[in-house]
Amino acid sequence: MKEVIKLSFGSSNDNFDEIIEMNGQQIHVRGLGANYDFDLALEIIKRYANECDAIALSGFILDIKVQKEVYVHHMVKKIREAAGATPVLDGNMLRKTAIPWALKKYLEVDKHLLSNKTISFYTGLVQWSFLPFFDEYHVKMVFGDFFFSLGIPVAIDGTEGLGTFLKVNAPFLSRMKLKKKVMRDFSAFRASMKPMEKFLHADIFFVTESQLKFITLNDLTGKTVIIDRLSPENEEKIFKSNAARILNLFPESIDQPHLSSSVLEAIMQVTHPENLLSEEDILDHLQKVQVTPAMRHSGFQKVDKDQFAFIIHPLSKSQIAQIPGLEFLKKTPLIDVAENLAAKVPGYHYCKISGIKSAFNGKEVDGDLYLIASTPKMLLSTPAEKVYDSLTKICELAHKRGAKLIGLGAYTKIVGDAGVTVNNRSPIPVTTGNSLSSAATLWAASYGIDKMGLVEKRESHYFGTCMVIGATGSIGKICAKILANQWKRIIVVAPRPYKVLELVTQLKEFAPDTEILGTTNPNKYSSECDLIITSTSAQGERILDIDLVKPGCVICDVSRPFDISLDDAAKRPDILIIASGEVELPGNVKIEKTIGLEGETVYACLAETALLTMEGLFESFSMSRELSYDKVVQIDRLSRKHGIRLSSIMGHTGEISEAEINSCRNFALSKLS
Amino acid sequence: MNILIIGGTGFIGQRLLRKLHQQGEKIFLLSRPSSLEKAKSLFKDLSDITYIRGDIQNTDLLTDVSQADTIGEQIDCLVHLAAVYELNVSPTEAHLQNVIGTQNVLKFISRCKGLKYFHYFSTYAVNQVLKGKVYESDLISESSLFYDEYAKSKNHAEHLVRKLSPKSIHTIIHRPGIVVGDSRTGQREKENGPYYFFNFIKQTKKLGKLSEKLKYLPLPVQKNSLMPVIPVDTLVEWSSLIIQHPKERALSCYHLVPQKVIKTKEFLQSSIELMNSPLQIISSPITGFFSPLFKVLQLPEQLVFYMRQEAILDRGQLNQDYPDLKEPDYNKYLPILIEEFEKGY
Repeated sequence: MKEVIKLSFGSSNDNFDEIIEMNGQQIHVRGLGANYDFDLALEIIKRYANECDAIALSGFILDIKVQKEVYVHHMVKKIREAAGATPVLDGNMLRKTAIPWALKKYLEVDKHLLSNKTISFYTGLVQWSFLPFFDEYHVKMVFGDFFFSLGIPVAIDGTEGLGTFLKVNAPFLSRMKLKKKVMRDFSAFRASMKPMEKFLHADIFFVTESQLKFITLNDLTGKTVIIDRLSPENEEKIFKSNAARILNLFPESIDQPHLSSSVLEAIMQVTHPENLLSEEDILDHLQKVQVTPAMRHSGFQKVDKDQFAFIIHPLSKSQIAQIPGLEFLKKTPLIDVAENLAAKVPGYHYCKISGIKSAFNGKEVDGDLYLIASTPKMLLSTPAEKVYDSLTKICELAHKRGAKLIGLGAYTKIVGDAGVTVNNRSPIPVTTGNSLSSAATLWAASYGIDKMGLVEKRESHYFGTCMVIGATGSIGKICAKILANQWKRIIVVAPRPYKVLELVTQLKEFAPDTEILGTTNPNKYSSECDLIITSTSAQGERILDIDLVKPGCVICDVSRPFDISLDDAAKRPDILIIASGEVELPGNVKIEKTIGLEGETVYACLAETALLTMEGLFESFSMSRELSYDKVVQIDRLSRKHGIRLSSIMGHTGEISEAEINSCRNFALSKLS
Repeated sequence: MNILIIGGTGFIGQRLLRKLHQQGEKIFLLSRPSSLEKAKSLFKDLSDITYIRGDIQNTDLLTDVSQADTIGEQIDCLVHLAAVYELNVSPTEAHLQNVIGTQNVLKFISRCKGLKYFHYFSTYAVNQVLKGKVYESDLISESSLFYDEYAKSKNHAEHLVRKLSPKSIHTIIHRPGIVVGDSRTGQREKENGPYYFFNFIKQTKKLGKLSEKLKYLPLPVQKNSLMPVIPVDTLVEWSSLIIQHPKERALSCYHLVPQKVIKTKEFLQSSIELMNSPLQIISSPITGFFSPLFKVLQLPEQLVFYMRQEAILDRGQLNQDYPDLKEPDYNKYLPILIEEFEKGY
């Protein structure tokens, strides 16, 4: 059997013997610690170099490359000499390719991982090989080398600064006697300490497994930590310093605690015995390894709460006059002027929303509400680019104030490409909140049906007929999928017959026990339906003959502008028309100023932003006009988990009261009898 | 039982080997190829010992690796007591022999298919800095302070044994106290432990008249310092009993020290008296004075710890598992040890 010795400069506590299987080949890996004793390290190499096929180094100073000069630490040089013909690997070649590669995988999941961020490297000394990767993302880099290597509390700014540091110190560092390092206590600095401020204020901290042994971490509240390899002990250590999440760059599929980059490199070497390992060989190997990003989110209660932000705006001219300070505009002809003027005011911090507390794990989150004073009319008439700009500015402001996620309220998510551009430009992920809006609308529909009590329901299954108009659209399709599993019979309506056919086939596979019909004409079946969901882009055109609709039917009008006109609605007091469902957040929620809703009720899209923050899921969960069924199902599950409930159902003109539902029901009953 | 002994030619090892052989056990002895002949002549009176070439410094233990599986299937029990035990051993040597050597043994064990018991000889000194009661389950962290490389390397090695010993076998750790010569014959091998001290008394006597004027001997001995000495024959008696009647636990650990441990001052004073020296020991705190003094006296500096150690070694596990052990009587054996010592070699 091939044998690899991992010689670490550190303690022999971690000595091990293990058989590792790689690509069907068994390799014996033996870990030997030198207890910070160079003579012992050298003696081990002298004694065992001939008995093994490759040596992997860990905890030694790696070769320092400054421009074209390479400085090799004198100990490493001696070890390489003592090893003779046995190859000595340090993992640097592997790291150079594997670390950027793994980071790319995370970037696929979270585009905003690096954009406009500052990364602090506890030391850049050993990281030079992949630093160019970060340059690609215009990341600001800060290095703690002065403190880590020499104990001088000064942060080094940028790669240029690191270059100068290395240039000056590399000859010295390569001659420095390596001994048991003193623990460097980064936590000793107050954030106010000028020379280290830059370092401590970064968004992301980069540390390696071996460095972590010598570092007392600074306060990492809310920060992201990137580590070359994460062990359970280190996970605990990092989360103890309150980090919000950890990005492990080592493939988690390799479930062997002793496999470090240098050992992996050594294993690759012994499976390639003919010649010395090259970057090309590493590329070959990496292509065979499955890497799935595994972000670790802190499960610990943090001292500081996670924060989110949310953008609101007045929904009508009259609401401008409700903005504190602008009350005088009420009932004055000035209101039109004000509408125009207000739209030119940059967005600002409106108020705080606090006291949101997950019913699942008690995690508390806070939110900042930002206001742009544009009415829907103004938002839609202003060039999209201008709106993007003002929204992006708010995102930046929110990021500075510590928010990790920002939600777009009301019409701000309708403008232009529905959030995509803003998301691309924002330093923090943006969500439209549409997933929870859809879920909440469906909750509202069920609530309405239950309250009307005209459809037989057994074990949350409705023995009636429902209809989805605009069923091939993004929201319509999701509603159809969800309802197909809840109702006995479903009718899907869309203008193009072939699309209807396609959807019917899909739904039949999805819900084989449900009777599924398709049509292009909603009026054909409307008299049989107990629930109608309309989600069209008919732009106010009449799509449904309200006179034909079955008495007691619940219509859920998801379209904006509404499909059912106010006049039509007035014609049929026996039909319950729901526009949306608004929700209640868990905890003792306090909103400093009014957001146009009663009590603790909030917009479902705001709730989604808060919910994702409670879950620690800082990503652009809902984006563009496309929605996904999986996300709606997921947000539905998360809502139940953290305790978000439907608090009110909204009609065309505002909240629908219990009394209104009752009168609607009475009208319906009398018509039916 | 088929027993493989590693370190079977050492001071304790050869006595243990003889004892087990005498009890009818089948003995396999690991021997360095270079000292195989020496081993054979040492045990020439014993028939049917299987000699196996090997060295704990080999990654694979055995010189002929192809034998490993056959031997691994044959042996039921492995006793590992090979170690360097000089107090002033270099850190490198201590580590290579005691730590990596033990790791090599453990690696060999992992491929022994028939093995049921692994006996590892540690030392009471693995918990060097502990004060007060020390239990058999205690093992201080490897990063603790140690006064000498021997104790440090044995601590590291015991950690490895506890960590890497396969869970499928029964691992038994023997932690002897300070091992002295045979209580019946006074036979000894190396001048270490209290013998350093005996040597020193002997030296002062050579000073002739001047020694009579020396009345007091200041030593860094504390009032409550304890000397957990155990004669080699008692240790062999106990260890062989444990080896032949092992407990079926995943891990056992025994402090092999007398039930009643003698105080250091008392032990040294009795020795002085037995050597007819008029010296009186006085306790003194450690000062800069001891370092040059010890040099002059040819005592290793590391001895200071052994003079000052106050830990009370708890024997709970040993007493529970082996309640009828015969205790050594120090009043009886100390004169024999001294007498034999004074004879010289």
